[in-house]
Amino acid sequence: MPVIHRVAFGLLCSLTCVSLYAQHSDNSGSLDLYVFSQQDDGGNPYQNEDLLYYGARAAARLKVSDTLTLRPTIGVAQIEAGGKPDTPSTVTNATVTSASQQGGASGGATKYTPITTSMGFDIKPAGTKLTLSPGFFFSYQDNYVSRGLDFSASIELFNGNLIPSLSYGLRYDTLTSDTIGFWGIFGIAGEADEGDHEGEDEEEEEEEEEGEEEGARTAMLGLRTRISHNLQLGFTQIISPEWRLNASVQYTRQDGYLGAPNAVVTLYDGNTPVLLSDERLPNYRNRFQFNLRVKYSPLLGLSFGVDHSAYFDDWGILNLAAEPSAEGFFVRDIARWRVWYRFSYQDGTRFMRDHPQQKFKFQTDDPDLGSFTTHGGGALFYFDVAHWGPMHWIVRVSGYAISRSDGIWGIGALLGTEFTW
Amino acid sequence: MDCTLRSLAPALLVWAALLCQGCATTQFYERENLNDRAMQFDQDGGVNYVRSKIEAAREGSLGGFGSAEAGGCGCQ
Repeated sequence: MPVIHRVAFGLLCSLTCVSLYAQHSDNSGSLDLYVFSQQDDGGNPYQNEDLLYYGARAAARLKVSDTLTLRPTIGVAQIEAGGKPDTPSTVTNATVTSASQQGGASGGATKYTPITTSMGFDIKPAGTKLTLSPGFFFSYQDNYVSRGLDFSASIELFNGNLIPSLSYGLRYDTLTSDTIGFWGIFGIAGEADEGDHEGEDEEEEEEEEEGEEEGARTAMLGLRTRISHNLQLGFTQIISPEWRLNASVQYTRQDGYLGAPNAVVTLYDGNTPVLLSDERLPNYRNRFQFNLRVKYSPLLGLSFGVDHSAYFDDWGILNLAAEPSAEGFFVRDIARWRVWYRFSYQDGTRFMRDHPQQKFKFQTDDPDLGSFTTHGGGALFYFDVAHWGPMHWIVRVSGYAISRSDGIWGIGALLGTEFTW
Repeated sequence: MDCTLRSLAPALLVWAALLCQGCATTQFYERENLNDRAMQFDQDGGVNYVRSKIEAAREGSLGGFGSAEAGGCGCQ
């Protein structure tokens, strides 16, 4: 087991123990185990989106004083991506670009072990209704490292009837087609040249040149970087004793390498696949999302809600989603339930084309950037199993599923336990 | 641009009207339903974490309904 995985496992255990034995009020500690299995029964036959994703996550909320609350989390997961589909026999070695040479052999599954940790601080200055929440984030897996800083601020106005909030998140990611390694965590291993992705003149056919192909191949072996800024403005509003509303708008700007290492695009001659080409995407992306959430409680302990989001970006993706939900109880304060259904419609990026006949400056076959509709849903059951004085032991069980119109579907489950005191 | 502004105008008006509700205070003693767990947003952190991973990875959007995301781990 690699050192970083041992350290993560130790932190996971420590965090769970610390959260259980901290002696303050308004505290909680939780451990969740989850699994998600995804199948690819359609779409592009030369892309395999099969996936098995499982892991554990521990989180705590520890009130140190009336002014300071800590929110540490750590998660360890395993991702087993499906093997690459067989290269079409009509694609000859003579016409395969650097992309497929870097992509590895057909058939073999790829495993990743992402480790994610974060620490948040809620600071409530005495005598004010203000909450300041700085935090940091770190995630590591063999071919991807992400580091981040977060900050949010909110204030209670009109006796808590209105809570406007502002948050900002920064992520600095390093990714590669190979293995990041220890020094890669610090971004040391020779930066990749991203100059060939400058600008956005996407509809131009690009000339094949020997030197350029070699340059792209070299870049795939180096470290690529990605910087993301996320700014969000929102508010939560009590409309009446039965209604609560939350609305926000967020903007994300990403710069750097925005594709996936080893991703390929299948080019065709008519309907016959003849070439696997590199995925090429612009090196920046502007993303906007509006969210509107409403909850209504006709009876104590029972609520109905609807969440909406509208997203668009400068790659041409439009995504609209709505999620009605309901929450109630079997036995008040002891056994509760929550169910939800989610529908989303996505209009895909203009860089994705049906049976492209030539290589374009920007091109992708990533199904997640395509056009589809998604139906999803799930249920959560929540049991207050026992309590000893102020301490409560809670168990939660959840199941969820998604189904996409392009043939990708998946099911998952979660088993969690939480202590509050 | 004008078309975009026109299409957004009704939504902005609704948001502005709802924001003005801040002046109509709901008193603390009227908040029994609101303070219940059923009326909180994002109450179950573990479930929300897993859902955000799955949904944000399966769509080209930012995912979720308001939690700030700015890129993230490679498991997406």
